[in-house]
Amino acid sequence: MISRGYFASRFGLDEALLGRVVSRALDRGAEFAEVFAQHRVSDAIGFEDGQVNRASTGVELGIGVRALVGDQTGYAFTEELTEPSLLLAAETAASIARGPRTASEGAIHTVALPRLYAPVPLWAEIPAAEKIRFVERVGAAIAGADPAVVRAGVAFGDEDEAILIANSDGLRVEDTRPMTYIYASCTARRGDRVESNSHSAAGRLGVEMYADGFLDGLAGKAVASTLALFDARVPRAGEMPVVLAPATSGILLHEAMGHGFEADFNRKGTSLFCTMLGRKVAADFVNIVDSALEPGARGAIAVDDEGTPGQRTALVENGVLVSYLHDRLSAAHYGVARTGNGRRESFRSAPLPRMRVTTMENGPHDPEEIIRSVERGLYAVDFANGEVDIGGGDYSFYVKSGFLIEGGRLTAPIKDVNLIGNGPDSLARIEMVGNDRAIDPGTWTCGKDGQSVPVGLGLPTVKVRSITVGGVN
Amino acid sequence: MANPGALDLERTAAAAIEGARKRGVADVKAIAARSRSVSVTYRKGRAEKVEESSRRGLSLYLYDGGRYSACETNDLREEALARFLDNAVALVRATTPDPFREITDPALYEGRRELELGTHDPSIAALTPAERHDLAARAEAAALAEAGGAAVSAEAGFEDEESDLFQAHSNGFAAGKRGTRFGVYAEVSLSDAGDKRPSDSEYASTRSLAALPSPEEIGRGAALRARGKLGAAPMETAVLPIAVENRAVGRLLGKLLAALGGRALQQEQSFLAGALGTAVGSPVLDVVDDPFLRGGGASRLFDGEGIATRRMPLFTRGVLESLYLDTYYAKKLGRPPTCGGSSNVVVTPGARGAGQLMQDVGRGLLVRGFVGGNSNPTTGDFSLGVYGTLIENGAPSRAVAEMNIAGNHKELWKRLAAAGNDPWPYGSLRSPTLVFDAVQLSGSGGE
Repeated sequence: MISRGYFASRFGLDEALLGRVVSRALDRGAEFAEVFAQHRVSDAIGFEDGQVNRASTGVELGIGVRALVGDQTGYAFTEELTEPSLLLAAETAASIARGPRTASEGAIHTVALPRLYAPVPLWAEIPAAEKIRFVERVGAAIAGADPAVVRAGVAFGDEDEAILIANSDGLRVEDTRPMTYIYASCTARRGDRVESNSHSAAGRLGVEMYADGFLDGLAGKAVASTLALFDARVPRAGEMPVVLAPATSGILLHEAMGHGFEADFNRKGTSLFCTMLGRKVAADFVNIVDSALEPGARGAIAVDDEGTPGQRTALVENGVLVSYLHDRLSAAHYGVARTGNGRRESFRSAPLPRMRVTTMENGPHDPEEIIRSVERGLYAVDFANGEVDIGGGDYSFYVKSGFLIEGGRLTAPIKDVNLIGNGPDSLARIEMVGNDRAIDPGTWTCGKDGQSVPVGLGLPTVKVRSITVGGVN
Repeated sequence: MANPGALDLERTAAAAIEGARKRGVADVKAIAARSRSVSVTYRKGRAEKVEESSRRGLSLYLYDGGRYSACETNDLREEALARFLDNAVALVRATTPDPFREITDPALYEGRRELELGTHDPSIAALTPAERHDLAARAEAAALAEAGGAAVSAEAGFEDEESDLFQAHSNGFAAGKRGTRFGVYAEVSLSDAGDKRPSDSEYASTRSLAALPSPEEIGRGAALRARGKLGAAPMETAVLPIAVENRAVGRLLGKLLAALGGRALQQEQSFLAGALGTAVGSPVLDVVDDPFLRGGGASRLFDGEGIATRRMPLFTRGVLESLYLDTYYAKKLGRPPTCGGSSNVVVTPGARGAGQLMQDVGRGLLVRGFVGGNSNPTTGDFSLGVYGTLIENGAPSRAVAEMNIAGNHKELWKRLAAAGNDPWPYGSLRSPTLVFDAVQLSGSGGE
């Protein structure tokens, strides 16, 4: 999928021009300069009230230029790919430095990338009618599934993204990344009560994701998860043991630990994990990994947005915090190798350390045994979102649905409750880890500093001794 | 840094409409826009990051016998635009006709006010790089000075943006708008017991440079807010009154306003279905959508569909008076359209200060911010992580964190007991501190 020459052939961004722009960005004394080019073509289709009622397409094209001096960053971008515009962006970025030129440029080279996504053909070559068929099939399946269903909604999207990185080390690398998602929502009425729920799936995949069985299954899950809410109640408030079901519960890792492991927060001393490297933070059987190498996953990247090839990074090994998530700036600050976590929303932003696919590895416990071990607690199945306060470690995540655990068995269904706790505390309170790790296929998007990037997450069944459940009494 | 002046917005919009009509599309709406912004971030007494950006873009909305597509691009090269138009037209032809989808009725363009909204400050043109650096540096210095020895990190920034837009519809609407924004922020982290590093921030965003508070005030404010989180711990699980600080109200009120949206109502995903004309909140709940607020963050004379804006009471003494209906969902609901979304939302202040409100609370929680959580838009159930300050004997006592509030919006707003006299002036939501009675708090301890 490494289409060398994409930007040269389409936009005239050839080696000679790239060289001139990189060189100009070094002119004021920057130690490092980089060009990031991006071309993104996306489509979206919506279904409502029995028909496709909107379709949209978007084109984004631009180039960001970054210049670094120590921890200092100069950044500028242009949406016009002419030489004068590119050189002006380079001069603007270069102005972070205030001296004569010092850096020399490395020999031109590239790097080998792992193959993580290979759809043929590109999304741009798939006719709109084919995409409309996916959406209509899901919409019709939801609408016809049960007499209680009053509304069916479907949203589909796809994207072809091409990127190019050229920097003053001499690195030149290109990648094309596909992305697609489908979101199915259902609203149902029983008597006076109305409930709605949704189910989504996403990945760096092509049309092969949309087999009929998959589409029908997605519709079925949206309907079933909605109807289940009629029997569910908001649980009582207080502290209790919480068992996290596999897959979606990975948001706990993402919020409570993952963000605190991002090295920019540690470099600045603002994460409460900044003094914990090398320390035991969890039980021996807790292993946490952030990896770019999950083929087809929404957070998979063959190369990060500053040219480091995709890789797997162990964060917690046998309960010990062994690494942060690094971009170029933080790796240089700590004097360690980059981990390939330098990501950005688009050419409009400088990269930051960001997660990719964050999961916990399998542990020694049987999931059934984990549930049996809880006398009274909560089994959290489905999550909507979460948030963390990096410095204090307090996190919160919203459970859409789950069950009470009473006497070691799942009993009454519950809904709409927030779990709140403290990251390091909860990590230390993990008592059991199941052997059923799964990655959630949903449309997870992580926000930081105003930049959104697609991520993945997952977990095996995990028992946390105590978390505060924000219910009502 | 393409020279933004090189793009003629009016001509770009007109050419796009012309191009789509030549390809046989009946009705077309085009918006051409550009903006330029600069941001400077300071840490450790020097520039940490300097970013400059120039954006531009064309959005095109095609209406073709009930078929509809919305397309946007920033690739404005002539041959790329021609291909973009071909694709947009092919896409609209692939969709199915929807009898409710039509371009805005020209009658809704009528009555547009001619007011000076104070949304563009020409002094932005004279702002120099040195001035921008100075504003950011002063905010950081003030934050560090106030934080003293406990500071582990302080960061501050200044940013400014100028934007320009031209909107044209094939059935007669044409208007432009310009705006500026200036923002200053500071964030401070302090060392605390154990490994905790509580942080908080202060910020302000205004339409004119003169309206921006001093960077010293922002820097100091961030340090004071962070200090207010030192030693934070949960309080007990209980039902108590809460006071929600003025600038934090948006997280709660936003969910109430979302239930007024045409799509949510028509798709039966609103807990306020059928509530128009009824009491949703206590008589204290008085809220107006005011597009004409001078210098307001979201002030406007027309909305995204070209509808001439009006001042719109949302809640009067607790009674729901208006909904946010765009032309499409209004038609589906069989109601007259209003506008598709909020402009400035102004909560009518009360007579008493935040200090007096806390005296009335006696014992409760002053909510200073939210951490995650959610609201179910269909049922109104909410559960939100909060942090803040314990109120004891009518005064702030200690920092509180790892707490949650839960309930249902349909009950919460009926328990609105008081609004303060301290509206927060730096956003498109202008709310004072609000006090709610009897809210479920969960923290430490069992059920």
